[in-house]
Amino acid sequence: MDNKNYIIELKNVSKIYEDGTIAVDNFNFYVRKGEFVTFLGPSGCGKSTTLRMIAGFEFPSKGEILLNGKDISNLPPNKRPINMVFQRYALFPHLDVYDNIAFGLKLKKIAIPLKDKEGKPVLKINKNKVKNLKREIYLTKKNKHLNEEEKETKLNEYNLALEKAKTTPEQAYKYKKLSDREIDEKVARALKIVDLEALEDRDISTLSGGQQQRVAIARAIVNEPEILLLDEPLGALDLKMRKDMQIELKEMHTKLGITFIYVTHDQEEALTMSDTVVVMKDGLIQQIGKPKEIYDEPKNAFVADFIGESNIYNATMIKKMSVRFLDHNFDCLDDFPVNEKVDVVIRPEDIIIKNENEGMINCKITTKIFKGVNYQYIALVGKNEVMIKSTKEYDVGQTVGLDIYPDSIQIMKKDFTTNIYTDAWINKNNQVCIDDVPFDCDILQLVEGGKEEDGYIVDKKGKKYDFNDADVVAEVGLDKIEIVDDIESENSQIVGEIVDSVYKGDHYQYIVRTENEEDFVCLSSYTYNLNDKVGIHINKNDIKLRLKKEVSNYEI
Amino acid sequence: MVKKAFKYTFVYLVLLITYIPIFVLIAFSFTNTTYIGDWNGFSLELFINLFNSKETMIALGNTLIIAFISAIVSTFLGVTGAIGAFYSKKRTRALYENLNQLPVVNPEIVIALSLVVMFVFLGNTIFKENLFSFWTLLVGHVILSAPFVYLNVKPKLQQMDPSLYEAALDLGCSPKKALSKVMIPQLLPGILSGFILAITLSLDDFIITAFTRGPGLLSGENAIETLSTLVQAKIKKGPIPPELRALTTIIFFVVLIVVIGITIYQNKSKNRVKRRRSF
Repeated sequence: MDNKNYIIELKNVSKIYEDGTIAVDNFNFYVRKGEFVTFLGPSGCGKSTTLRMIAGFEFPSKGEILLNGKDISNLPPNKRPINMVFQRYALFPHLDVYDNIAFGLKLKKIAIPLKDKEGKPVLKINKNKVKNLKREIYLTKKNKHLNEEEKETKLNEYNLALEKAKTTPEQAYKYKKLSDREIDEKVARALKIVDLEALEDRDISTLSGGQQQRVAIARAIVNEPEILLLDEPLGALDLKMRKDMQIELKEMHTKLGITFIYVTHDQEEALTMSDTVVVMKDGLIQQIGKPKEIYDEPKNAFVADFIGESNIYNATMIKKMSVRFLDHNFDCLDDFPVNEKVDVVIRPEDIIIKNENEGMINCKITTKIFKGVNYQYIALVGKNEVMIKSTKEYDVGQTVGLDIYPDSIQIMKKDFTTNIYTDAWINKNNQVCIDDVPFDCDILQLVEGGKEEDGYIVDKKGKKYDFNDADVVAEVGLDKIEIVDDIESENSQIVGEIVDSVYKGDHYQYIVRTENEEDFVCLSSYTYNLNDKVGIHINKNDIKLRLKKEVSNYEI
Repeated sequence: MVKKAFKYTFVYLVLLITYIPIFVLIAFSFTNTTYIGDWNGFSLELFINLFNSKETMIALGNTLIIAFISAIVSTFLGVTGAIGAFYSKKRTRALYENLNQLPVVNPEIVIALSLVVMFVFLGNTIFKENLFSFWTLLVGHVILSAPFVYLNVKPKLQQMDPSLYEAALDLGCSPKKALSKVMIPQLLPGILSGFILAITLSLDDFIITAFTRGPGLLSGENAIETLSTLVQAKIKKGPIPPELRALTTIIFFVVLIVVIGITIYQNKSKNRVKRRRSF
């Protein structure tokens, strides 16, 4: 089988909390042995939950986690050959450095195959296996997130295995603890790897942050885990220390050959250290790839915006391999259907700055910041802002030319072209309810040539309709949703929180999420911050409606 | 300068007011007069009388037994309760916390009376016998002190890094081992102070003891007599028995030694450097 190299595999893993929040949604992912994988995303994107499921502190609601091909989804953390470095280290303050590192070793037991006097292996029924299978059966029965069919197949599988385990004797083992000398040698080796040889007798409270960090790493790697999990381990260190530790961690990874799974919200950290980066948002994988792939070819505007600095614009494909934005047609390498609305990303360092009229387009520099290695300019093309990084010096107010070559234009499918609400319905006042909030709408569009007579909708043939409780699909254009600052005012029909914002040259694209988790994607030229509470207003004529059932169902 | 002088005068004044009565009592425990104020010259008669007085010795024994047993039980309940509540869901935790507050703020007399009513009721309806004994007294004292143990352990839990428990599991501990190897050592200062508080609460409790006691322990067939109930009974009849002055002196010095001992131990453990054998 070709997946033998996969040390850990997550198959359709979801985590749904008791209150109904979905932390991780249908996660499919594998890690090759010895790889350095990073989960990257903003806080609350489910990266830590995924890590905790691999560690065993949380169990998946659905799906399976396979370690070397064996299902470990419901195995408790102490039975997994996986160790973790915690965010705030979680060192034991009542033990000194040596005892902290030796903690796992002192608990470790080595299995030695039992042999009888003639040297033949002793066979016994594996009671542990029976116990574990019984636990699995119990957990599966209690799991609310599986449907009946899935439950049945799983239970059958476990019951078969249980019968087999109960009847077939297996090789028996006796368990031996590590000797003091072995522990001592291993601790000494671990201390050497993290460069803390002289500190073994020190109390944890006397160590600096960086030293505590090293102890935490030593405590995990001394157990020789198959996978080392690191949950934002450098978050509490200052910048310089963080950079040093990044390099050291990378070196350690090469030296030890252990698989590292790393969680961070720092994109630079992810790009410098990892072999593979998994970008996550809202419990969903946005993109998996090598750092360079993710930087150069982001799959959507979120990834482009999150990883590095970028210029993102709305664009239209005007002909094959040609895209229009910034009032200019640029040649490009990506092939999208003609007239499709797309997002384009251009990295600031890929834009070439030239003298006036020498480039493809002209622009006027409005801001100039000296960044040490280069200058960062903000320039205006019409109403659109362009961020440029260049080593050449120009003055503010100067008009310059810009060149953008095909290989630096990354075209992405638009995440949102319109807001669609599939579970909207009409109430008795002929308003459309989106997220259970009534919006005034033009109900007459539902029937051909409709007009209103005595509170009924009448079509051109004179048939009467009553749309009370009718299920409809409502559609609202991104530019038709207005953000209202005053959430108390009448204009504010529904209140939500800004959960996402992407700058697109001359305007922002925001996602406003309401309390009931309904999203409104809207465009605005004003700046709002994440988590700002805003109101939303939609004009009556801007809501397009489509009945889910045939219109004849509502005839009276 | 004036401010400083004022500060110190105030501190010493407070100390003086608190300690003068104790020092007077200690001084008068070394003379054999019945009334404080007369001085008959130095004598250890009171101490000899104290150890010869069977009544007082029985009360002392009872008090210590109850104090230790009730402190152990309430420490166990308080610690497990605090850990359980800490790892419960928010709403459950708030419920536990409020329930725990009630006995703390409730006047002791309310607890005592309600316990009596409950024991009489249970005795009449279910057990069909008089329930009052050592056990009812123990229940009373545990109810009195367990909430205080809980309150002592709770801040230690809040200070603790919540991922310590997970770290222990991650390194191979079973949940039980994680509790004994990581959680308990972390909470130990809180547990100890809770235990000592429970002992002191039980030692000097009068109201609950008077209401819930029954025959048993060293008092045999008679109602259990503790130091506080004994003193109360004596005062009713006449002047404070002079031997009790000697007893108070002894208790004061025992407490003093314990406090000094704890301080020395704490200072020492900070400077302790562990030597490990090296191979």
